[in-house]
Amino acid sequence: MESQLIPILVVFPIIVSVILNLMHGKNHLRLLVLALGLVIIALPFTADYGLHTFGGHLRGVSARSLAPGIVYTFNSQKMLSILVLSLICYLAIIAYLGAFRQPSGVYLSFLIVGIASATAVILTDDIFNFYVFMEIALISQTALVIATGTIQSVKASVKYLIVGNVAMNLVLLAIGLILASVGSLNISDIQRYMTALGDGFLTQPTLLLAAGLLIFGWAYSSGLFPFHSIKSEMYGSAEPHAAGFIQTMTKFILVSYAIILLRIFSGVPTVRPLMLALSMGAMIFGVVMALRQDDYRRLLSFHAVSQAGYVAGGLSIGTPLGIAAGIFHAVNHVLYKSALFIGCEVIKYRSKTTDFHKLGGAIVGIPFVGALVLGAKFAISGIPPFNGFQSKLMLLKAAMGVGMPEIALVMILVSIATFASMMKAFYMVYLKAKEGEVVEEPVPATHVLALIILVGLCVLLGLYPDLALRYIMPVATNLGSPWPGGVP
Amino acid sequence: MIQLASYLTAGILVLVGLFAVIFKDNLIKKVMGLVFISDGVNLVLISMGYRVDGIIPILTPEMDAQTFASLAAYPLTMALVLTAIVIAVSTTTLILGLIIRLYQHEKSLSVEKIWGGK
Repeated sequence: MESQLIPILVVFPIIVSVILNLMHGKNHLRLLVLALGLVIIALPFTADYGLHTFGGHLRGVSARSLAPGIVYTFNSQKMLSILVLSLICYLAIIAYLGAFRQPSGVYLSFLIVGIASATAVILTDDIFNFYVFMEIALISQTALVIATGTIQSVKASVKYLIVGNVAMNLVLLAIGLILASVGSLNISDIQRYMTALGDGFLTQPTLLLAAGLLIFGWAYSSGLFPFHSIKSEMYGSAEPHAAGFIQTMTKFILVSYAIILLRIFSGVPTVRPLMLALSMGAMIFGVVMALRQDDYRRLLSFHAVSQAGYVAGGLSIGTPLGIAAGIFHAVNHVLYKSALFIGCEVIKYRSKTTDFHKLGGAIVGIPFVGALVLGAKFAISGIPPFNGFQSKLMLLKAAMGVGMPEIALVMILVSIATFASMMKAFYMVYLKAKEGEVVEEPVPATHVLALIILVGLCVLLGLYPDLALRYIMPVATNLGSPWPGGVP
Repeated sequence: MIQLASYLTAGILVLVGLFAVIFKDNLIKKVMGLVFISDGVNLVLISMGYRVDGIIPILTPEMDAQTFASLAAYPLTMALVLTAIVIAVSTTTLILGLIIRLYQHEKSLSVEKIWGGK
């Protein structure tokens, strides 16, 4: 069904970002961004599910015919993803406005560009349009990181951009190879071509090379192994509220990218095992690196990468349950991880540091924030009744369902290590006696509000997972397929 | 033949670029490597649209549509390359700007000195 309002989901945030840029330094910037942010959150409810074609593209056309039209598709899973993305951006904006007395219109505009680019990546059914908005997302993420003004953020950004430039050029090369072989950039057309090709795919070296290059790009953009340390350095260099939003963008880009890979290359037996191996790498290396950190922000950054491994792992399993578990875990993860980053910003705001050795005793001054953060820590560790428990349980069932108990075991062990790391962080920040003079600022009410909303949603989805799963399951059922080679 | 030569050139550009990005210590040389990679990939795309004795893909009123379809080079790849060039300019400018900032602070462009071998 043709839906005219789908492009508004991308166009409106772009217009808002331009307005905010023009309003830099002007009065009423706060009021304006808060009002327009609410409109952006409401937008996903206005569009009907279906597709929107730009330029009258004829679906199903192939074999080097001119098919320049871009297509956007919108379904229940995309609606949920865009809604959560917009909500977390809004909470990041609230936290930013609470922590900084002179808000920057330019900085706020880059937060909104982040929504626009990630939304376009989620919506698009055109692989080149996907590449373009991935690049825009990369630039907006970098801009949010360098806004901190520290030399550490510049170093992290240079490294991220250099590796990113290589990865994205290789993705462009893969797109070129697919265009040469298939004759279309439309993902649905490519999927149809690949399905018709069947096992003949394995005899086409250009398509095999394209698969490898696209998986390389997926690992980079999602911060999976071997790019986990570059991505976590980016999270660790940003202001915590921005880190929460950047990791949210990354998770939804990861999901959209993985769905494209599954749609195009589902017939290639080595693609899903390769994706699963990268996911396991991120999961294990992420949590091991997190255990070694002495800085709260960096610890959370490595956990963000480790949890990306869970999301990617579920999607790589590729069965309906695996895909549903992966997408559900992405939604859950961005909620509790954003809560943890905002909790970290409270600590940074009060104590002017996130170094564990200089922190401690926060439970005395901010017991309510401590309780909320502890809830988020339980959620990331997969403890009931929080949402992390529900999605991790689904992931375990998905791994067992394809006859891979070793994957389920790794997931359990990483979860235990996550719990240990989170409890260490809680002890160092909240429970340990603080050394030296105590000079601490009061907590901004905006941060407490954001924490209440996020942790409340974690509990709500933990108790009623169907609230999210009813949006995810139809798409996962449609997309999923048995594990290559069957269940051992 | 022309197409093959341009594919070979593109391959050499990408390999030289990757070599510079991986093995060169100077940040500016790394950025030059990135530009080489980007140019190589763009050349692959442009070469894909090449047609022997082809014409520019602009349909004028006096031109027959059938003749145009049989002779015109593939325009889609050109549109992709135009967009890719714009993106490459943006990201390269951003990297160079950050490198200037890094140089002002570190007084060096050496990866070894700035990151201490990491």
